[in-house]
Amino acid sequence: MIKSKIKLFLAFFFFFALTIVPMYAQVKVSGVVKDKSGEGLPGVNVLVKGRTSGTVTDMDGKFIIQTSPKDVLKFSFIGYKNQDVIVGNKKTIEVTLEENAVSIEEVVVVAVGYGDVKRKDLTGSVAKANISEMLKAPVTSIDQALGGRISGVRVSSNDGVPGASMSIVIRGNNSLTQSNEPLYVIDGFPMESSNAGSLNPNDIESIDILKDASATAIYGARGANGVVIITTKSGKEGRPVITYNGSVTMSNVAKTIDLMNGYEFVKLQNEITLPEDMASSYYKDGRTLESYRDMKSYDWQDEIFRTAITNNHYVSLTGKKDELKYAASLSATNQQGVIIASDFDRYQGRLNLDQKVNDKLSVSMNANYARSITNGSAPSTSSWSATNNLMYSVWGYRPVSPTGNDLVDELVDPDINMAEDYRFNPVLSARNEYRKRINDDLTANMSLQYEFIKNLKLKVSGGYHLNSFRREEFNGPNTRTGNTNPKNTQSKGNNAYLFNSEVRGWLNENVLTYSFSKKKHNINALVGITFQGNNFSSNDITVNHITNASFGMAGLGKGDTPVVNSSLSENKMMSYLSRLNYNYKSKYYLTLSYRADGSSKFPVSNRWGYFPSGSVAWNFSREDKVKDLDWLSNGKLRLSWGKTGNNRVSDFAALAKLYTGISSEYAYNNNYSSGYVLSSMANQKLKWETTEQFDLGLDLGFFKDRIRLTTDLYRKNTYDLLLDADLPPTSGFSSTYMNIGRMRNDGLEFTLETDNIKNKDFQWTSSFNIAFNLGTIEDLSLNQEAMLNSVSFDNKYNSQYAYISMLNRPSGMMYGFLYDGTYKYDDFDVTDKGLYVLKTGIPNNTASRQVIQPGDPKYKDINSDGVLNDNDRTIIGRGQPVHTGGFTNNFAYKNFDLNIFFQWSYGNDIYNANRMIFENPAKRKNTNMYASYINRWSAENPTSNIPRSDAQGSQQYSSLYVEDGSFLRLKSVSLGYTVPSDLLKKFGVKSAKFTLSADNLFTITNYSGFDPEVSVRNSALTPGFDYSAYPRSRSVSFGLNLSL
Amino acid sequence: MCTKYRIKSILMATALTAVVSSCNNFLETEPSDFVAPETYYSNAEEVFAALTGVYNTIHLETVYGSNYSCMISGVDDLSYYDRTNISGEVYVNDQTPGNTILLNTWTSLYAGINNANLLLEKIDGADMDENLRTKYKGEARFLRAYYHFILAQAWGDIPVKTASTNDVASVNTPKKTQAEVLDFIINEMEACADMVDSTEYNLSVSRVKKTAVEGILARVCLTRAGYPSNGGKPYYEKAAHWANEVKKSGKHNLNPDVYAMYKNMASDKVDGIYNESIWEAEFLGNRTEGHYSAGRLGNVNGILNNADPNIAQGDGYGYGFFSGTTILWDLYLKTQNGTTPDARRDLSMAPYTYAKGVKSNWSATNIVQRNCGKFRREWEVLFPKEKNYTPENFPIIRYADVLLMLAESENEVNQAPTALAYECINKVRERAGVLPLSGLSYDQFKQELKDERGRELCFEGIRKYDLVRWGEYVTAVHDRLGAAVADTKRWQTAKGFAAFYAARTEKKHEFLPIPTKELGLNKALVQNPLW
Repeated sequence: MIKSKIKLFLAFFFFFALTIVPMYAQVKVSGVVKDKSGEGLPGVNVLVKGRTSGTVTDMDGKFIIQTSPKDVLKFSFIGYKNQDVIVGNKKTIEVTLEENAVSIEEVVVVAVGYGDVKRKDLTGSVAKANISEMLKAPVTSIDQALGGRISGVRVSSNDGVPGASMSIVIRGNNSLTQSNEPLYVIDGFPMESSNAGSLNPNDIESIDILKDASATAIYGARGANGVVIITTKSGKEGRPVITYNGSVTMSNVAKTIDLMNGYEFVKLQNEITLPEDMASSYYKDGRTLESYRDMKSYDWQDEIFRTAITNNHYVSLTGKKDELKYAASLSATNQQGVIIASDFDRYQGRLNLDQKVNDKLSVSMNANYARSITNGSAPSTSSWSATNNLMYSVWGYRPVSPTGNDLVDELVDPDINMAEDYRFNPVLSARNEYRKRINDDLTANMSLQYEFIKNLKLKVSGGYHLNSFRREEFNGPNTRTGNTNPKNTQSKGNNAYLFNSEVRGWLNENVLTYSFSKKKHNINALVGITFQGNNFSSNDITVNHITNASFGMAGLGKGDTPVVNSSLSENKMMSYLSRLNYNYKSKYYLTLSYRADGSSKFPVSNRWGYFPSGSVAWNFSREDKVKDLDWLSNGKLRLSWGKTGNNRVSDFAALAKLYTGISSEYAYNNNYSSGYVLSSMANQKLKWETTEQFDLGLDLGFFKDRIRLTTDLYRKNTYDLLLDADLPPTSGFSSTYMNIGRMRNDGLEFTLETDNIKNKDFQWTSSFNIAFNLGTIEDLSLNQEAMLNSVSFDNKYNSQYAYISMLNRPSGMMYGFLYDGTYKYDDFDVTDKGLYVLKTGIPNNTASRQVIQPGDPKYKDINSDGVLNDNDRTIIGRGQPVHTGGFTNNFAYKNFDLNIFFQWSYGNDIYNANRMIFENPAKRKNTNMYASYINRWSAENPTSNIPRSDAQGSQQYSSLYVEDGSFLRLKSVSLGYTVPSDLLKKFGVKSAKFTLSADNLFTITNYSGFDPEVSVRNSALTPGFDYSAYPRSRSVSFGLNLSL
Repeated sequence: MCTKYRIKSILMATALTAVVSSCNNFLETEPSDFVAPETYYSNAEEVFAALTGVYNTIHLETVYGSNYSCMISGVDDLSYYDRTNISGEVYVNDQTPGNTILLNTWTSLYAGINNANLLLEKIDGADMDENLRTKYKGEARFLRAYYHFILAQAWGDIPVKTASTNDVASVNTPKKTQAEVLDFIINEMEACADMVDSTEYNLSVSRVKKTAVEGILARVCLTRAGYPSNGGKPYYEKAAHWANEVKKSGKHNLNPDVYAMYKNMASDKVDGIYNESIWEAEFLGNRTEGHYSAGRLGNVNGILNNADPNIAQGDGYGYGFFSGTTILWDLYLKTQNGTTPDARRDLSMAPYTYAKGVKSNWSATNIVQRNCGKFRREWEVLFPKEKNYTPENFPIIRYADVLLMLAESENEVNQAPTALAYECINKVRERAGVLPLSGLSYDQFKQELKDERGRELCFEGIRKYDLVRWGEYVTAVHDRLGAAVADTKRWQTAKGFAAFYAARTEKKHEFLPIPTKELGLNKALVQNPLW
């Protein structure tokens, strides 16, 4: 099935290729380009001067070009000086290029939004991702490889669900209740949510991340969270090149959790079950605890996890004919998840065309389409009972069955109380719960560039983005909510859910640029006006009691009256922008920008926001006295200031809303009547959230740039925070959007890149980055001192606050009781009847004093009033890390190359809520526990600080379950072998490379859960919560890159 | 149309001719999936939907679905929360101002008041029949006053809101004393009595009708007359007047079967003959059929039933949180007629439980094990029975209560029981198979009346507020219940944790603390003095 699809793709592809391969005939000249040492130089541009036609050299530095004797060939290559050669009568040309003394800074071009600048001319803080390094281990989406690569850019996913999108936070959270995602600009089209998953990583030419305000202010009202500029590959000079990249990956869960075996499990049951119930179950037929020592016991993790296979195929065609540059690609990805019956597929195609119409006019077009399909349920989504989540069933299912029945085959464990415990056979859950998410994404952009006079250019572009998302869910008779077992109080019969949403966005940009140089004054100026609009629509249908399970999703019309919801919304934006880049002698730099944004989201009085920025830079290494220093090759000091905005509120957040729906009804005489209730308050003063940012940066290069250092020190002050701010309930509302509160983020970033060894056969380069960010809440709504937040995962805990965000502290601190070990025998008086009574003066643990027994959890009575209550809750953990970073080493020896990449996070904690269930003694009968719970307090183990099996007062958030989430991860290791080109020549292959890589090889951490990179209820206010997360995998890939 | 506009705007853009006025046109968008208050309330249908939105508050889980009806109000001497190891919660008098149940109920009620305020501000602009306008206005005004009343009953001094909130700058509202609040409510409700409907009593019990206004007025006046507002005689007179209006209307009678009304409420039936129930919180469905009305009555305050293998098709899941005390039992012992118990005893204190789903009777010595029996899921007729959500209604006011209020206020006004007072109390007693009263002094009658209210109205969210207005809440719970629990011959030690609830109860528990969130944000408000 998949194979035939791929064949079809390829057929299309070659058809396309044939129609476009150029034919050209003049004089044929061949040659070779070498470096000083005599080695052939691959990839050198060979251009016919005065025309734009040309070619590039092959792996051996050889080239063939159609030309005429009068022509001059121009040879150019990054890091080498250009050279011109007159063709004359030569049939072969040999050229030796001289190495260029200029630094990498000179040649690397960085996208800064509405244009590019050379790295050396940058005045703001902009980081460029090293795409080739990131792609050494295969990823389905480029953002998956971005974590740890760039200082100050935190990339994380909630857990390991295949195909899940990553969240990116640049330089800390500005917003408390609103999105902290950066603005994504893909081929010029700004989007407020990541669309990186629709792109094939192989199509990506560059990723530039704008960090400071001088860089982001050109994106004004949407720039405050930073900007990620993604540019896709366009056609290259030279003859058509067909590239195939393919990989096969095998993945396994990186870690499983040790669970109790049958013996330990029955021992625990014996402690929490009445003797008569034990006698009629586990101890039936003369069995004793000892009988379970040798009985087969299940680890359900073995049943639910698998070795997953992922295939990636990518074919592209790039080249240039006449004045048309083209790049086209098709790809297919089929990724299995490590949990059975979960997978992710993506089919994607792209076409980029650049046509020079005449000397003045050029046209560019690009289009990308991707369909992504995800199957399988996310294991951590259920919010009202912990027992509803998949991993609860996996870990909690009994390892032995006293009846001897094989539990693997039964829908539910017959001995659990289905009214209170929603555990369900996890294998059958995973296989029978139909969960499908389909995402279709189309983007198309076109731009015209017209050069009125030299260097005065007008660029007019238009773009369209269509994203449609469909979610299908069906629960048949063999699922938790579909089964009609008379014990099942959750039964809805066969039930189905369908959700559809569509986002349509359009964009028009008109930008005029002018640059000129005179007497060492270099000026580049830009003005523009842009328009953008977005329309959203969604609807969903829920139907229960579908008459026949065989209908599946088609049963939406064949059950109870469906519940239907729908929404429709739009927003528009209009902006004026301007920027001036000036430098004198490439020594003294000044950049100014100013943008005005008008948005339909805000009321007329506050509709327009104005965002200025300015930066200066001094390239002191070009000063006379410094210029000739051998050891210093580059030195630049940057200082910037700017204001940027955040507009991430819903489209009509400023208006009062009357809501009508199923929760606003009332029943009169057994008939429902629909009602209208106020659901939000008007705020006619709503406006942008503003972030003011200062950045001081220093770029240094030593020893001909073999050591490169970039440091940035910044302070971001965010004010007029767009906060879903609490209101006094007497207002009739619990919250509304207000511009209230202030946040500050201070940080230090440090990137060191070194070329440690650089000779003909062996090269070793390293790159190290580290970022410190401290976010502080400076003000909240209406003099509030703290925002308390709960996490929805189980009704027993949902009303307890798990997080606090208070003044003068970072947001999202973990909140609860300080665990103080277990109550020991010394804490009790013994009565005549041998009962243990808590000594006076020893505080309780939220449970009534008279029920507390030795082995129960003990918490610190912070205010020493002898009673444990809400006043004793305090900060017990830190959600945000102190520093994060990455360390890469690249080795190349002859045809081999090796890349080793480490990533870390330090100083953040994780709420391991799994342990709150599986090491928590709250009398969960017939439920297996973690093996760590074997060491619980008992009369035989009276020194243990793990609460006893029947503990009182244990269902509380406490520091017992907060763990250090710091980690150092060997994220990827990749070994590549490039086949020598003379071996390939006879097969007509231009280049071939084999790669063996491993992902997530090991992680050094104290965290006891699956993986420390976890946050299943991720937000600025509730970071680092782990419950029933999809485990992350460890994988090994084999890859092949071929070029024809 | 839309596309045209877009093309136009793109053209405009490319020509770089945008001027500021057209910018603002370009940026104008209209909401399409919700309505703004400015454009609503234009006709009778829209006003009725908004009125339904005001009623909606009643059936929220935070109000009559569970929190106000059971968790907040069921904290008295006749019932106790039948779970060990409960701390920090309002139903065991261990709440702190941060308690979420308190916050959520407080929030829901003020949201309901805000909905009513907005409707009252907009209704005069609607194009509708004047009689209908008057009727809807009456209901909305009454509900606004009623929500204030149940707040004042539970919290004491509270802020009064008579205008909708439409500006973040005007959210600081000071509180008024309970007496001031109740006077406001009485004025409002008196104005509503003749505005609302007074027909079709045999149909919906969930719409407010004239007798509901009058009955609730009697309750408000009694509250105003007693502690701590201490209005005394004028308010007892008013209470007597309004209760008597209900009686005189002839619309309501006691159903001879004490079980009938509760069975009807659980099984979605309306008793069109006796109309004992005057106003109910109506719940319908179980939330699996595409609606959201279902409450938790019978589930939280029913009979414990958690291990029935046939639970969805059988008697339904019940937590059995509330059980009767020996004080309640003894009240029924007092009215036992020879060997025939008070008919209300086994209604109020279920004589059986479900052991793994099988009905089994409690023995005579098992008194405090008996769960509240007025809300039984076995009476429900909707299958399969959802675990937590039920279609059972809750009686907000019923005729027996009105009769007892009339008897009480007659006795207070005249400082001695009148013939009317005897008539009323004896009607209630007679229905329960209890001997009539006669020849009592003021004090004797008063005590009998208090006991009768206990026997008749226990578990209906009324007892706590009766105890408070009689000024004996702490005595009843701390002293009398405390002593009752200490009698371990009758109160088994396994249920002895109720002692902690009794021991904890002190004067501050007469009224609830204002939620922390409100205090933190409403700068004009101060906490109730004892909290």
